[in-house]
Amino acid sequence: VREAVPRRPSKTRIVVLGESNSGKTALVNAIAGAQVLTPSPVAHTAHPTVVAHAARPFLAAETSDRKRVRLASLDDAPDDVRRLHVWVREPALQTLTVIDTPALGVTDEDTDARIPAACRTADLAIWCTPAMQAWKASEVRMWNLLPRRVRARGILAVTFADLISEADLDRLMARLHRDAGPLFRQIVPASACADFVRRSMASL
Amino acid sequence: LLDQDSERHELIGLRLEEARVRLLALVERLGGLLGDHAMPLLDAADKQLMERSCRIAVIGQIKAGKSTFINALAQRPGFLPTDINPWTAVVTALHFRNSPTRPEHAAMFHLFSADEWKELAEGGGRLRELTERLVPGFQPDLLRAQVDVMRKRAEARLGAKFGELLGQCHQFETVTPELLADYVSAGDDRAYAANGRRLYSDITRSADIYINDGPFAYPVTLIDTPGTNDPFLVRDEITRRSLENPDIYVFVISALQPLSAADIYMLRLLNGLHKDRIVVFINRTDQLPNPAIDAPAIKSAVEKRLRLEFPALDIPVVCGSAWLGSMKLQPSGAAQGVPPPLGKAPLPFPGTDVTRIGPMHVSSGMREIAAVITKLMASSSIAMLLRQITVCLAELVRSAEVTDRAELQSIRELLEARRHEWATRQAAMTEEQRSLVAFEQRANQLEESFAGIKTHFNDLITSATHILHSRLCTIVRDFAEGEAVTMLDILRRDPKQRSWRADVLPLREQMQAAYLASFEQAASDFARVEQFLYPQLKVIVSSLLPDYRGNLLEVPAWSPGARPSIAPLTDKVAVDLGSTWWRQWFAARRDLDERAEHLRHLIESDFLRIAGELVQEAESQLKQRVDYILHRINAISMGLKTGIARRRANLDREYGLLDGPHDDQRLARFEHEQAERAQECMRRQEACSAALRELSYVLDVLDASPAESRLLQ
Repeated sequence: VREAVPRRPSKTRIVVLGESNSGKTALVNAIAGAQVLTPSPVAHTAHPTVVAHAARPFLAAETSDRKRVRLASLDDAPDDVRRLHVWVREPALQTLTVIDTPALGVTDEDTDARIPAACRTADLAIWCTPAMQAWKASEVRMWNLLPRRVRARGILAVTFADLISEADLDRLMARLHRDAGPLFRQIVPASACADFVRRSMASL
Repeated sequence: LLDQDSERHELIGLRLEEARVRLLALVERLGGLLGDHAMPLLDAADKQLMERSCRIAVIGQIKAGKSTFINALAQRPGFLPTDINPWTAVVTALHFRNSPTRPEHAAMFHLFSADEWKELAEGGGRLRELTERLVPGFQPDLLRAQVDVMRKRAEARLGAKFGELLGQCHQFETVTPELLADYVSAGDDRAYAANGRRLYSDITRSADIYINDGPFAYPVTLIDTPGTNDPFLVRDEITRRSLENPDIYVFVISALQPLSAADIYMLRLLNGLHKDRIVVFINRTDQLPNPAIDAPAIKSAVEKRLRLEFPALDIPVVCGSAWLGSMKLQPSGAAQGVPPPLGKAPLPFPGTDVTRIGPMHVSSGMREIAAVITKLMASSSIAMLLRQITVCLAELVRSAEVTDRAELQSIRELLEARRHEWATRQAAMTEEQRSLVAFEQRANQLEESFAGIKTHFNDLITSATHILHSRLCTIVRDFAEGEAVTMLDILRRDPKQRSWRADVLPLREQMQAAYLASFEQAASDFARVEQFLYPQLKVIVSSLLPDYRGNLLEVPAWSPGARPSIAPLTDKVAVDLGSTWWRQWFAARRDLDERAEHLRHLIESDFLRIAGELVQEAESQLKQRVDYILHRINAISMGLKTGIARRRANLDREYGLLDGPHDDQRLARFEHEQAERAQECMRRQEACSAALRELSYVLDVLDASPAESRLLQ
């Protein structure tokens, strides 16, 4: 498996974070430029999932002892998964790798240790906050629990922004700039996030 | 599509209201029938029936759609202001009364007193106190910054002299959405500067709105809360404190993020408080990508999670969209009549904005939630109270009826005896005299034992609260000790630990269990004393009327739901604070033993205070019960005594007749008077029977238990 997929650490790595059902998977798809993962209104992403480019589509699970097993479907993942790997042939992914993460804060405050691990090598950390219930106290707390160097590369993405009117979005953005501005490099609606990521890649 | 009728639910709590109205009328009627001795009991019942509304708190995280939900349920679209940003800043109580007279004030806003404001604005109130205790000297910058913002904002909005407003109460004759926005919404200064209105929400402590007609048959107080999980910590704190003793909780969650960790945490707190009183409303289903498929999936996922978290409970879950419910209620032609909520885009009516008409076939869930609330009300403490009043009145009426029967019988016997010769008549009178003396003796004995029983009850309360207090304190100390030892143990084994967090939920559960058990114990001690009293009353009744076969004077059973409040247990304490604080706390102390000692101290100081509050609550509850028991027994025994007094008067008149001159005119007048008294007895008896029939009907309406119905057979 290792030979089949060459690692290219030079690619920009983007990790997508957020509470449950905050639109992380949809954002990963938007950045990847295709419906790579299936978003669901109920089920959560169970494992950190690395989406990267490869000539041949390929699914694998990486166990906690760093062994990789090939998978027929993401639902077949074994118990002891460190992260899942999805290789797809998407032009948008030629220069970047996106990591989807399980929801933070499912249990009261104990963070899944795999999430900070997934963040470690990330060049950008995107926090997804849904427009209808944006930037709650629990999100502030969760974000502040992440390592400082991850937070230094933070972008706040407002997901589901299409569900509210433009005027409302303006007022929401004003509040977010006021309340969360100091904690992020940038605050953008998720729809603009993929473009923003590509544009800012040059500066990374 | 905009079918309004489908959104109009049946009036909520219709049956309870029928029972309440009938009971009120009965209380009025019985005042004349039962006499002065029953007045304390009747007055208490009247007060309860007039003033006790069903409190329904609408709670949930910020932006779950609580205000929109209330607007839809109350069938007043656009009434409470809503917005895209957290908007409700003040706990708002909507009092619904279906009274024919207009309420005196339509709205009343209490502003913070100078002291309250000072406490809040100079440090963030209780939250700072908690933080200080956990990490002395550590001031959370965020909290300080927010409190600063609040103070400056109040000054900017209300002028430098806003301090003069503190402590005021503002009343208004009419309510408009604009007025509500001025007092309860967080506000948007850009919008406000333009229209020249003043925003009071920063200094408003509570808002009360009085509404004369609504979707509720039974008097209801709907409570809108600012929402938990608010990054504005001061507001979060206000919400938590506002959740005092509602009868029903509607827990609103968003379908887009159903049942997050924060929701579960809050439900856990509530669960301890109010089993079977929660309904979950999954709001915003109209915003799901595919409502027809997603909504049922989310509903079953939520139900599954609830069963997992709370296996003992059956929490009803309703899916819907408050936004849709509000919208469907607006007659399309009269849309202009209702001003659009501040800041929110106008509702899409045909011809304006049809982008969201798509999910219109989604149910708003309003009819369903109305039905669930009606059902919960029927088993709530309100229904319990109505039953208690009914049963209590039934007993009073029964004993009055028995007294009247006995009087009627004695009048008849005496009149009958007069037709016989002197010796028979003399014998009948002596017999009546003898039995009256016996009753009086028994009644006097009973009255004497009352004094003793009062003292006995007071002793019981003292010892019960004492035991409760020492039990709770032991639990707290043991738990604190245990936590400290566990922490020491783990830190010694793993010196790399960087933080620690004590989970006090088990402590809350233990305290709750001990508290309720002690309370039950005290209550059953009371019941034993009552059981001792009732047979004595029964002896008097049965000697009054030996052939009486009806059910009378059953020892009243206290409904298991009539429990004391355990609200103090939900108080936020220092150890409930988030992990950031815990890390600070951990870092502030190097020495292991010092940490353990401080942890023990933290848990003890907060929970011993809570234990004290619980004991006070139990004490006042037990006192109320004793008052009720004494009122009740007093009313019955006084009823019997007045019956005896009337018979005594009869007999005295008979003796008077015997001693005085024997002329036929006097005799005829006497017999006429006695016949009138007999008539009066019969009239009263008839009224009693009618009242009993009415009470029996009320119990039917309330779906009485078999034990309760038996009283009226």
